[in-house]
Amino acid sequence: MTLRTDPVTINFGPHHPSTHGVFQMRITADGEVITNLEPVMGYLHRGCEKLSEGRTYTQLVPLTDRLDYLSPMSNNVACVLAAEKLGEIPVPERAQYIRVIMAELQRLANHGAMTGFLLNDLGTFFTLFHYTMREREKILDLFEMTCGTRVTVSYMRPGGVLQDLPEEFMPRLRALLDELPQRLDEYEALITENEIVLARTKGVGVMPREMALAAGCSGPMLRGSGVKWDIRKNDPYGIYDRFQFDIPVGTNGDVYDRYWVRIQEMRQSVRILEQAYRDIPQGDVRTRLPLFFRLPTGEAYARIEAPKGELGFYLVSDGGIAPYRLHVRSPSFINLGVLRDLTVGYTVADAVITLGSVDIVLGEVDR
Amino acid sequence: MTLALNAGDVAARVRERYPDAVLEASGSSLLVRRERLVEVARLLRDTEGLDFDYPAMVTAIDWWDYFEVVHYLNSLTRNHSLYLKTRAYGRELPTVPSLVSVWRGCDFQEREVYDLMGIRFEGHPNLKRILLWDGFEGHPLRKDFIG
Amino acid sequence: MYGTGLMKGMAVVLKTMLFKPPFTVQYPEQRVEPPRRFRGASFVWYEDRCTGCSTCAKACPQGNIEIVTSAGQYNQYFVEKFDIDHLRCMFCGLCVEACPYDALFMGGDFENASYSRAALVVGKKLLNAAAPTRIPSSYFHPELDHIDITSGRPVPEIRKAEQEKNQDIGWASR
Repeated sequence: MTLRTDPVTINFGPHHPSTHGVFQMRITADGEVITNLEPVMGYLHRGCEKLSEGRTYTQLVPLTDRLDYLSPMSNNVACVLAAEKLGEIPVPERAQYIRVIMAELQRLANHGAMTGFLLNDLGTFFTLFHYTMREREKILDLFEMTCGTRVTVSYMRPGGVLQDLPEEFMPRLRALLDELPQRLDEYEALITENEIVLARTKGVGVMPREMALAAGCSGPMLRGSGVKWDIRKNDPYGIYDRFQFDIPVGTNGDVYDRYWVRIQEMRQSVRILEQAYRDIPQGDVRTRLPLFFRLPTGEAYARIEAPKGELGFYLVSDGGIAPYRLHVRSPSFINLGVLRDLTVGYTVADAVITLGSVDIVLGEVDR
Repeated sequence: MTLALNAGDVAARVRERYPDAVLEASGSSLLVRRERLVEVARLLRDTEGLDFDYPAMVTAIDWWDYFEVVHYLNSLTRNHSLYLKTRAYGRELPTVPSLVSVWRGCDFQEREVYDLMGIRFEGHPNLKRILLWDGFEGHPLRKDFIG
Repeated sequence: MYGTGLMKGMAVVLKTMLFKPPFTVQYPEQRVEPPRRFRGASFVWYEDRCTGCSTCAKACPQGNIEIVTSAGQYNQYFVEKFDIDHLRCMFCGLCVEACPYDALFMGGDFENASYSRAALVVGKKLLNAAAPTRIPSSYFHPELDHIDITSGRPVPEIRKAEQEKNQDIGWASR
């Protein structure tokens, strides 16, 4: 006997723990198989781009903390890079190293949180999540001792960083660096060979290389599909051309590969941190600028390899103390463009982990 | 290092096929006649040596007299970049052709520009508001918007 | 063999469960001291140093600080009103960074819930009353990094003590 079934529309979110914030997926499902998926966003839209038109370049920095609130340090770096690029503001050597240290610590914290969330989506409630949060906490402690807050850091300034590292920072960083490889091994022991994880993630949410390119995906989404593209290597900003590290690349472009790329990136981040720890010079950390400095007329696009992908700030100045137009190219927003193609044909449970592997933060999607 | 292509060289190649397409080429940005945008984008994507396979960013700027739509294009195979610009006149219904048929990554970003800047993208398959709700009046990123 | 990966993971969980002390603290009973540079709510403001120049108010992204001054007899300003609106403050610290006279500091407090909204707009009177007892954060003032926070002495005194200590040690030994 065959059952006649009608397609069902499911409103998945915006208040659902698996959507990582206020994100909604309008799923049309035939039985358990998804036939259509429409991402609905904008619940957290605060108009950052409009707000920035009335603020000075220094005042932009606290705004960027609120974009991707899992990696505020990276956002800060991208924002000040745009201003520095347009104004040709020099950055002292030590400040460059501090930026690298902060950005890489942030990458570790972000990928750790993402891996924990992904496992939550898979049903491993809070086991790995607590482990990764434990290490994230230590990283946030370092941020707090440097600039006073854990998440809304506002640490970078055009022309350097806010203030020098405290004395106890370096010993704490050393201890963390000694600990991290061991912790990463633990995470991998929990996931990488786990049969249940493999069964759920291998071959799910497969993104071919061509789709990733044409859709403008970036970061681990792009590298998981086998494109060797990392802005730190291919378009180095700051002093990234001095560091030795590899770009991990996936093969199949499925959820597992995106997870695997992130874990490998964490190992590479530890490598970069080791080199930065070794080489960091003494000296000045900030080029002094007036409180309300002006940038020349023109446009600049500065991009960095944020944990989630290519984070770009497109800055247009008319010579005033505030930007004429600021556009944020946020990686999670553009990565979401492929969500429909990654989920159609899979089950609803697979859509959840596919969304988890895209690694969105709604503060950045909606801006 | 990503090489910012000299727009003059690119303009010369574009003019071979479409003599009237390029309005201005300065620095690394290529200003293209609105009607020719899709053809030029296809040319940039498919020409050997240009290979712009990666649409990095789409945005728009309100210059009061006109709206400038900026596409920041990348080639991941050749590692170079170019700003592709076009202008839309009129404040009521500025229109530029959509590039979703060339790079599908423009989809959400063009919807965002439509939502916040009020520029219509002709040929976009699903042009509706993305960040704001459907009944919202006005387009907040315009300079004359009073919220 | 199927299941080895699972067992490996279980071993990690068991090891963590049995041999690792808990990482969390029971908050209201146990407390973690925030670091010296913590950007907290209890602003420390010294009226004697403030000239009423309003640089902090200009630097504030939200426009939270309201300053009203009146001109004095000898070409100086009196600060009539100095209100910080904690309701909209996001504790970015730009005001402290902007202050040219070291008159404004962040504080170390993070428990700033209140029963009324009006109480969260902190004015001159309250700031003045609190200034001698509050310990300023060393945010943007790294010279305060190593001050004994338990002594609770205000900055001018501590600074003086620091200077004396430095003189005692002498520059050669630093």
